[in-house]
Amino acid sequence: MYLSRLKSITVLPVALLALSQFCAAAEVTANAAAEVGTSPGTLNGGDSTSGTFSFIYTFADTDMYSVSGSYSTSYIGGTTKIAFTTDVGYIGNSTHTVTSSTDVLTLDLLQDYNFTGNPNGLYSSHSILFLPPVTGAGSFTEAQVFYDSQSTGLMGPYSGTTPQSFSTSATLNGLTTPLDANFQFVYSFAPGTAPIPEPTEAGLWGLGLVALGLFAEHRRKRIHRNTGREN
Amino acid sequence: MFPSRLAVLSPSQIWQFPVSECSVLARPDFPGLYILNRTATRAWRLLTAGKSFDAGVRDFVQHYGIPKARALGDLQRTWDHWEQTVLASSTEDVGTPVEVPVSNTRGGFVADYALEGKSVRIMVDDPGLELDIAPRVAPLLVESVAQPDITLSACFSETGYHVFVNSTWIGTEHEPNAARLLLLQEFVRSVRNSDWIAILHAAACGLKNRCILFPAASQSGKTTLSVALMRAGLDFYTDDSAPIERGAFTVSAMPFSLMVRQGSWPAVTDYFPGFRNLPVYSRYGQDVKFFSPPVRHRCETPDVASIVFSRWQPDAATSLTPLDSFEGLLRLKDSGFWIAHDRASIQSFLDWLQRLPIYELIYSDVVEAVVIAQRLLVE
Amino acid sequence: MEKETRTPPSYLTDDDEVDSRRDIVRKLGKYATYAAPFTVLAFSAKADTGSSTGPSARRARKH
Repeated sequence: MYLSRLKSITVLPVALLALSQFCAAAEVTANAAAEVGTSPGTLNGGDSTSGTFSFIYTFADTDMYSVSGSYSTSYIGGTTKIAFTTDVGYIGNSTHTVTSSTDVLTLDLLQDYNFTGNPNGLYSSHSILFLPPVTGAGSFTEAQVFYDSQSTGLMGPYSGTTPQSFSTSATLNGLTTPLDANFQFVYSFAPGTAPIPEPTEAGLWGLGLVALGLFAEHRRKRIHRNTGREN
Repeated sequence: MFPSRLAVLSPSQIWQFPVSECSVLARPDFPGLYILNRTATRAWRLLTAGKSFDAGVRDFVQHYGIPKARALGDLQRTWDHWEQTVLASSTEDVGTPVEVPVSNTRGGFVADYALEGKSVRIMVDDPGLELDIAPRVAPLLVESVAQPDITLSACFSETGYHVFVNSTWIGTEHEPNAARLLLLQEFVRSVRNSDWIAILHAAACGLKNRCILFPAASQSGKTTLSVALMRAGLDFYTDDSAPIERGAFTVSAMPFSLMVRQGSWPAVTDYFPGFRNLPVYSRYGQDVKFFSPPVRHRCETPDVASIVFSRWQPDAATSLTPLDSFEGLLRLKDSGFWIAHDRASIQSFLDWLQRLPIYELIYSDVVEAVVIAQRLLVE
Repeated sequence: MEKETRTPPSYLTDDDEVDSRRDIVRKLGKYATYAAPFTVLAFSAKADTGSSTGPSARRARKH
C-alpha cells in the first residue's frame, strides 16, 4: 500500500479568540466582520503569506459556530495564488438546542496583489465542498472566487456530507492593479442543525469535528485536500 | 435495532478496535478513524448487540442514573451522527476524481541529491514550491548525475500541486507546504524502500537508539525545545514528519533542514554559532533560516520511548502528567497523524500506542524540560 | 517504565445546573460517572478547501 502523506493543522484549543499566527497580509472575514487581520495586505512579486485561524461566530439568534482553517496566498513567477480551507461546525446556542432558524455564514479570504503588467486573463478555481453531519434539511455550502468583484464561477451549492470536487474558470477583463482577490465560502445551515459533540471539558471549542488533522490515504487517481501549515 | 431513517451500513461491516475502556471504529472503504468515548462505546455495544432504541435508553438510564430525557436525547443525537458518518451508506472516495494529472514539469528547478547511496532528482515547476523545498534538501545536494535512481517532481495546475515519484502521480494538494511535506516524505520512503505503518506529525529527539516523539502543536515552542535538547547532547531525528516503520515501530529519521523562525534564532545561535551566518529567507511574511544540525544522529531508526505533548507556557510550573491511551489518541488527532488504512495496521498501531508511555509536559523553563526528557529516555 | 494511567475527566453537557465546562465531574448514578457520548473523526478530510490562480495566460514559461 502506497504511503499516505502527512497533512495537518494543529489548532490551539482556545475558545472565543481570533487567532492570527503570522503577520498575515491577508484578511479573513465572517459575514463581513474582520476575524483575522483588519484589511487585506498587498503582495508584490515574490511575496507570499499564510496562516491559520480559529474563532467562534455567534448569530443574533445565539446560534454559535466554531470556525477554523488556514490560508495561503502568493504572487510568484507572475501567477497569483489564493488557497483557503475552512471548517465550520455548529456548537450550540443559549439553550443548547438545535438551530431554530437558518444561519448563513459567509467566510471571505481577502488578498490584494500589486500586479505587474496586465492582470487580465484566465483565472481558474477549484474547491472541495461538503457539509458536516447532522445539519438540518436544506443546508448547503458553496464557494466562489472573485477578482476585482468578477467571479470565476459559482462552485456548488452542495448539500452532501461526502466531499465533492468543483472547478470553474473564467477569462476576466477590465482588471486593475492592485488586484483584489476574494475567496469566499458560504454556509447555509437550516433549522434542525445539531451541535457538534464536545469530547473534552476544554470550553466551547468543538474538537470533535473541527480539528484539522487531515490525512487521506495515499491512493492514485484521487484529489486530496489539505490544510498544511508551516511548522 | 436502533431506528433508521436512512439507508445505513450494518455495524458488523465496521472495523472495531477497543482502546482502554473506549473504542476506535473505522470504515473499510474510507480513510479515517472514529474515536468513541466511553459512553459512546457503550452505545455502540448496545447497537451491535441488536438492542432496540428503547432498550438502549433504558440501559443508559439504569447504568448511568441519568434522566430518561437526557438518555433519549444523547442516544438519538449519537445515532443521527453515526448514520451520517460511520454508517453512511454511500460514502464515496474523498473528492470526485478529476483527470489523473500527467507529469508535465516543464523545467524550472532541477537538482540532484544523494541519500544513503541513492541519487534522487527533484524537479519542481513552480517557483513558490521551489522556495519551500530547495532550502530543506540543500544538505543533500550533489553534482548532477547522469541517471538518478529516483525522480521526484511537482507541477502546478488549476486543481493544485501535483506530486509524482518516477512519473507516477501520488497526490495533489491545494497548498504548497502540504505538497512539500508529501514530496519530502516520498523522498525518504523511496530511498529506504520503507514500509511505514504510520506517520506522526511530530519532532523526535533521543539518545542512542531511543527517542521521544513530540507531536506538533503550532508554535508551541517545539523548535526551541528541540534545539535545547540538541545542546544537551541529544540526537535530533526529525522536526516535522515522524514516520513509523511497520513491525519494528521505529522512527525513520528525516535528513532535511529544519526551518527556524526568527524568534528561535538566538536559541540556535547559542548551540551553533555558525547559524548567524546562514542566509535569511522570507517565508510567508516571516524571516526564517534553514538549519541542518552538524551531527544529526548516530542511529537511523530509533525506538520510541514515549510520546510527549509539550507546551511552553510563560510562568507555568513545569509538570509532567501521564495520559492514558484514549487521551493520547485525541491529542494525536489534533496534532495530526496518518495510519495505513487496513485492519491489521490499525490494530497494530493501537496496540503499540497502548503500550507506550504518553505524557503532557508543560514548562516555562526549557532547561527543566530538557532534564525531564533526559530522564524519560533512560527510564 | 511502568505506565501510569488516569481516568480522563468526565464532564456534563446540556445540563442547566452546570456553571462551568471545565473539570466538572459528577456522579449521577451509583454505577458510573456520565459523560455525554461523542464520536470524533481523526485524519480524514473534514474541511472545505479550495484554491484559485491566474492569470494563466500571463504565466512565464521556461524553455
